[in-house]
Amino acid sequence: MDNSNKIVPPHLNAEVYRTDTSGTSTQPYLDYIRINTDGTSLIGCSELTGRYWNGGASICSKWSDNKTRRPPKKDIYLTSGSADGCFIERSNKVLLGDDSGALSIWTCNADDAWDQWNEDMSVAEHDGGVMAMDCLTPGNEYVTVGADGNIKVWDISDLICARNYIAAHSKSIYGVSVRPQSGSSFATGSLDYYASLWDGNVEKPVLDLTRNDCGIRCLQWLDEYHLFFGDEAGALSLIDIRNPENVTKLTEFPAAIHKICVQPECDRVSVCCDNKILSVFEFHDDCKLNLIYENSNLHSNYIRGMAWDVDDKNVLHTVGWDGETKIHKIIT
Amino acid sequence: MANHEISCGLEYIIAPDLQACLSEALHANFAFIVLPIVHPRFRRSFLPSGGTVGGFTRSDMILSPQDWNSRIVGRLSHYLDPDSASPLVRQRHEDCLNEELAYCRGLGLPAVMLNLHSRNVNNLARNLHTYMDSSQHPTLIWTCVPMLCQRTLRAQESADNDNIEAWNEPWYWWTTFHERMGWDKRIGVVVEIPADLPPQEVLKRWLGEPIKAIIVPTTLFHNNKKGYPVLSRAHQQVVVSMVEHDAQVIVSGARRSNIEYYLQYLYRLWKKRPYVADDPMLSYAKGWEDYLQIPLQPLADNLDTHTYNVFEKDPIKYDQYQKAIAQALNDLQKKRKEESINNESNTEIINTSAKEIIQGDNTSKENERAITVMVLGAGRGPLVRATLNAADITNSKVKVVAVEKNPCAVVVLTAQAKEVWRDRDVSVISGDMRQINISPKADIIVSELLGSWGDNELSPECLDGAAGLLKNGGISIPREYKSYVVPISSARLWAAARVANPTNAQQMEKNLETLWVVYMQNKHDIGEIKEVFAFEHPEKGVKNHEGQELLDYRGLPLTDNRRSTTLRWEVQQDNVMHGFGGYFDCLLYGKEIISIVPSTHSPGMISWFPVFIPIKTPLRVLKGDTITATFWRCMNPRKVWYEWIVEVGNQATPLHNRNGRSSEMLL
Repeated sequence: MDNSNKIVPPHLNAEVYRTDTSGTSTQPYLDYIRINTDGTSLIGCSELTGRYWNGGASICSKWSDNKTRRPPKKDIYLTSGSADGCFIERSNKVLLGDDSGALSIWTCNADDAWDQWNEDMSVAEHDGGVMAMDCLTPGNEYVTVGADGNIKVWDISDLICARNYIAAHSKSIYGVSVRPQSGSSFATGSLDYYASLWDGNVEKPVLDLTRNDCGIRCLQWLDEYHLFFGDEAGALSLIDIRNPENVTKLTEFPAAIHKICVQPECDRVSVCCDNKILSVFEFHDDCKLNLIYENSNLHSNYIRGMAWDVDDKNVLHTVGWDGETKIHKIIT
Repeated sequence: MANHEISCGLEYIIAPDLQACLSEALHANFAFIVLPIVHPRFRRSFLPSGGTVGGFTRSDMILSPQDWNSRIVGRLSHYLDPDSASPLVRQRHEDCLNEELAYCRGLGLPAVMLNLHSRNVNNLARNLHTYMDSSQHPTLIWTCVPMLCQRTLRAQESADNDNIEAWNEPWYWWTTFHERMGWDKRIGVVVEIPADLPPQEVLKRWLGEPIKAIIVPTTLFHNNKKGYPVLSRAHQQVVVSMVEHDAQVIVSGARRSNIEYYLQYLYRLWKKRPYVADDPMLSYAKGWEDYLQIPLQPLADNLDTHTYNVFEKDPIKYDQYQKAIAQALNDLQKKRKEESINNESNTEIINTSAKEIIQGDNTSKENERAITVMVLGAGRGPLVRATLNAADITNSKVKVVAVEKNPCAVVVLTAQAKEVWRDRDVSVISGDMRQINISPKADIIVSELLGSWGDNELSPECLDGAAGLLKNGGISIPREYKSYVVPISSARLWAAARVANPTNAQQMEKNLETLWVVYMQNKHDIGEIKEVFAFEHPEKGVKNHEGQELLDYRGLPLTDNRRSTTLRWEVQQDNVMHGFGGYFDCLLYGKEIISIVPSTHSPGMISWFPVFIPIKTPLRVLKGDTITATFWRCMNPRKVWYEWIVEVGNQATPLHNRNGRSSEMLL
């Protein structure tokens, strides 16, 4: 390191720190990755421990095969972090959720030589951070869940809240997953221990699917009857909603399960926890999981997001709090 | 509240730029901000060895120390669940909880806010006990609960019940937690105001809890015609009544309007509330709310001149006394006139016996004679003045005898008798009214010896002891007085009583066996007010088994001022009982009363705050339970004291203050 020519009187150390904001462009924490049908990926990031808890997103065109890649440049700057986002049909339009509770739509004009992303609309209606989102009808209706315990169904064309489930859960809702082949039905999982089933046309929950013994962190449908959920204790469980009393605990992890990512065509499910380990399982009809891939050294901090490659079914992309995006080749 | 202003804070869901958020809020005139101390999504593994590298949140040097310890309320991470059924989660979250608490302690925050979600709070309470025991800095714990439990509501609606359970549930979360924390006064509650308001009873119960703040979500506001955010009338009332009970207001949720508008609206709302200063009691009691004082013992101790000065300022009490004395003087004159007419007619009819004629002469002389009014415990003379006024008003001739045992007050009385009352017939006698002997005897004795619970300053003992000073058939002002109690819920008063003058654990125990004089504000009545003890003057003596009235060695009626009474209340709503509120009322004479019973409180009378009578172990009471309370007034030759016991179902408190071990009134 070079010597500095700026001498700070030691007794003014604190005051200087307060006003010197030059060193704050730190490595962001990557929180999620979504890959659109054409292979374009959306990566969201947040700063969680630095001076400014802001965030942003990068949109990268289809990745080539080279394994290591540089961290993508930020295309969208947000004033607070972002826990989830998704494409709105096309690859030049995204919906982003903010830790401040705001929701915004961004587009990139194809003619724009600079590939500049602009905010089309933004609304702040969640009274807590937006924790997760999913698509009900592509390009039309999306559902968001928040740390405020509210669920909101959005008409995306004008970003109008079409249905508002206030106090749907009594604690933060961490996960939402739209039921396959339903278009209006979705499941939510919350730290209030409950997983509930909702219908976008009905005001109250259709069904409380389960009451767990600790908070539910994430959930994902395997098919229209089977729902995986992961919890704070690290247990991965499966509910058959035709018989919700019967919850099958599939396996346990050493840390809280953060996300589940299902690849329905191959009956594969990948899991990441509050640690550096990525696990991929094959799911069998007898409710057994078979570990087919595990990696604990590609990321140097918690893995936060996963997405299956659109072309190669054996490729899984991950992002983590180490600021890295990684590619995992699942060899079966 | 000393300076009865509304204090508002602003909650940030997240504060991406700490400095900017704080200056924005302060610029908009908010007094403080609430924000998460650690990023709510920053999950971390806590290793006891300290194995993690790097900080788990941003540097505190971003703000100045003064900002941290006066402007910031830190919110603990909302996901923390130290009471999870899963042992693994419990342990992990407990570690993170302690890490955040320790960080808050390092910052010196004025308050730390956390959320409750169930009655399962043992581990949370356990960890907070450890935190508070090891914390030098007086951090408050603000416990945040909703007013309504949506899940209970949903469960009930399907069962087609009334939804009282949904309103009860969060109250239980809070009181269970507060109970586990030993009703500590550093623990306060923050309630979130819901869109649909609860029944009045539920609101009143909340007003009895130590509410530090209310959360007013921005969703409660709607825009008026001009586009400014306003609250519905019902919500306005709730906010005002909560703020009147010392609550601060936290505006929370998404920004649906300019934040300054919310604050301006709340200020306006507070300013335009019904003006309370019209009630002299309210303005007099300002600053004394829920402040506990030990009752005076004017019999055992001599009051100082400042105390006299305070109590003489009551405009209503002495006016009532003056009216009562005037009424008594009128009645006595009327009686004398009637007696003399009777005697005259007797004289005419009989007109035979010389003895009777002489008697008739005596009567007319007596008619002329001054009425003797003794002021017993005259203090610095307000009742002497009232007597002289009453005599002027009724155009009667009085001879006033002021009896006072306090040598300092005697000096003042003598000076007044010499200087300002030199044309009147006022004599001052120094001595204890129970021991002196004066003749002629009094036609009227006037005294003001009542305490906040009526007889608790030993008025019965004093007046019975002075019964020899009153003529047969003479008038005592006051004529009778009664004490009252009502079971109350007030964690604040209970906690304050327990730790008053905390010299040792024994003292804490004693404190809960003592009557406290206090202007009670933060409390909730669990039942109706009921009568406890009644006393009359002049008192009749007790009778022996032959039915004869007993006399003491001086020939005065032998009275018995011991009492006991058992009262019952049926509980209307689940609650926690912490003790009783105590009041009195008093019939002076004729129709003139003074009262501090809330329903009949003499308007504008400020001399007495009520008493708080604690119970050692707060009792949980359920709707439909019966509270049975027994009070005893006990005495021995040296002192008088109260004992009390409370039973609810099969739980009972210990017997309080047995043999007067903790509190007593010395004779």
